Amino acid sequence: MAPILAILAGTAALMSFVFCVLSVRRLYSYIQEHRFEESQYTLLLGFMHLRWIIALYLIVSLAMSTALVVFFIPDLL
Amino acid sequence: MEILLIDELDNTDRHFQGQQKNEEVKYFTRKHPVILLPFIGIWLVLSCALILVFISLFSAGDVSGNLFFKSVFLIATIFFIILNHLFFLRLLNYYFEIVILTNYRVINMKKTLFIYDDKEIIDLHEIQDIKKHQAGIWPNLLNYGDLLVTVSTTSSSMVLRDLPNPEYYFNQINLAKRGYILERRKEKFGVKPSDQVPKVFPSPMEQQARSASEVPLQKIVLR
Repeated sequence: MAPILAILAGTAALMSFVFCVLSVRRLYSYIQEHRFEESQYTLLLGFMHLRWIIALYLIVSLAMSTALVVFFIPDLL
Repeated sequence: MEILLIDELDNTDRHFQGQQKNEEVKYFTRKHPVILLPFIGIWLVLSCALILVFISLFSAGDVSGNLFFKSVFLIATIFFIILNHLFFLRLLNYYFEIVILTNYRVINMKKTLFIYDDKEIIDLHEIQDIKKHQAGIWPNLLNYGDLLVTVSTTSSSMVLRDLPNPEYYFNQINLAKRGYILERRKEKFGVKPSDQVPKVFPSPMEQQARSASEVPLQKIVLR
């Protein structure tokens, strides 16, 4: 049972990271298409740039996927 | 040495896809961040609940040896990952919903990362009426509201929801519309240079005095 859980965890981690990368790729194409000069009136709460949120999203996704794999990987070994 | 000649007036696809050659983006805006509050609230509550589950799991003892605890941990972690993806997608979708005001039209883009890609466009000369709707304590306190742009040709109208500072955009759309109509009149009839778009809205008394002194447009056309 433990190896099955480990495989499930690995699959979930991989899917999560792939989904994140896919989202960021779509966002990148959006940024290429829409070139507006941002100001404090257009940013989220007046200061949050889209690129900051993308970076945070990548870091959080990677961290959670890594944590999941690290926790369950001993069951496969 | 290569010299590049750039036509400064050519704005084709400059700021967004479909932008015309002489089209200038006057303003663009996103929705008021207050629309994210309910979602952030739900995310916070669920995240706290999941963190409590993690804390209780790890405080119960050695999780790595117990299969039941591991299953619960895996389910809770997957749920937490999905919750975080939804949270970030909602934050990112905030940047997709844009209202653009150009010298030709008003564009309302309703786009999300994966599901929607809607675009609504109204030419400035088609605008018959604009209504501002700002009802309730929060909209007036935080200064956000809706703009209802009615089109003369059809019964449908464009609703620009949850705009920050709606009064400002209400005035700007009005100004842009008047500017566009004057520009078209100039092209057709050669209106005198004094009929420029006012920088600020004149007071009702000034408007009365101005309209009394001005020659009606119909007379100019007849001559």
